[in-house]
Amino acid sequence: MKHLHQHSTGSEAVRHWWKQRLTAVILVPLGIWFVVSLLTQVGSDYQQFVTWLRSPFITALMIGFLVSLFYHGYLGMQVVVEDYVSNLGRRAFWLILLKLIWLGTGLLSIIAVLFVALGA
Amino acid sequence: MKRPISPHLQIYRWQLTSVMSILHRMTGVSLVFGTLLLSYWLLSAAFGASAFQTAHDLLTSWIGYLLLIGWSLAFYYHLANGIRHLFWDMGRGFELRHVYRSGWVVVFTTILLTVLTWVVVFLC
Repeated sequence: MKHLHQHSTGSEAVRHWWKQRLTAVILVPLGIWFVVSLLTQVGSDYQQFVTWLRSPFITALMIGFLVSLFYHGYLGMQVVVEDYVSNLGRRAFWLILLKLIWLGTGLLSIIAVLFVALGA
Repeated sequence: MKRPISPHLQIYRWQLTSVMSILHRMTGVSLVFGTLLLSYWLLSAAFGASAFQTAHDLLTSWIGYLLLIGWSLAFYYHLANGIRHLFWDMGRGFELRHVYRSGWVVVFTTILLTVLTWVVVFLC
């Protein structure tokens, strides 16, 4: 039993489970914050939006939200691919493709926020 | 190897629990697509006022609103049902009548929050 326990806490599946839950717990408050923020930004023009996003707390919250969102989204897609693509070669192909697209999109989003926050 | 297979869809009796489980995955996948829209919106802000205006016009066209209403519905569902899942992860609410009750709570919360959101957008 002790051996089993040691084995399972170190396994990829258990780590995946924990990471998915951890990002989920973080996304509950950050997701609500994001939607409420969008609602307060309805009717804002570009300058008002930029001023809002430039506040250090807002920039930090937005980047925190994006990191957890993209991580959680990737973990979810990974499960979907593993469930529906049984051929291991094709599965690896889809996982790598998704990871590249997702990493790129996430990185671009974060850089976009930093651009607005730190830009001239 | 003869392994047990999933319930066959054509002879399957639908129930709240299974439909909600499938919806959790479907809303999750739709939210991933919604995230691409969010990335586009943030990028447009980085490219300046006119790009941001283009994104804004796109998002406030009828198809934009349709996507955003769908996104909000998927978001609230995934959020509420996700919280339900987190309670299960803590070992709570496993009794069948509790599972059904929390299921209906999720359904009504989703509808309520979605309607409330769009009332705020269009009327306030």
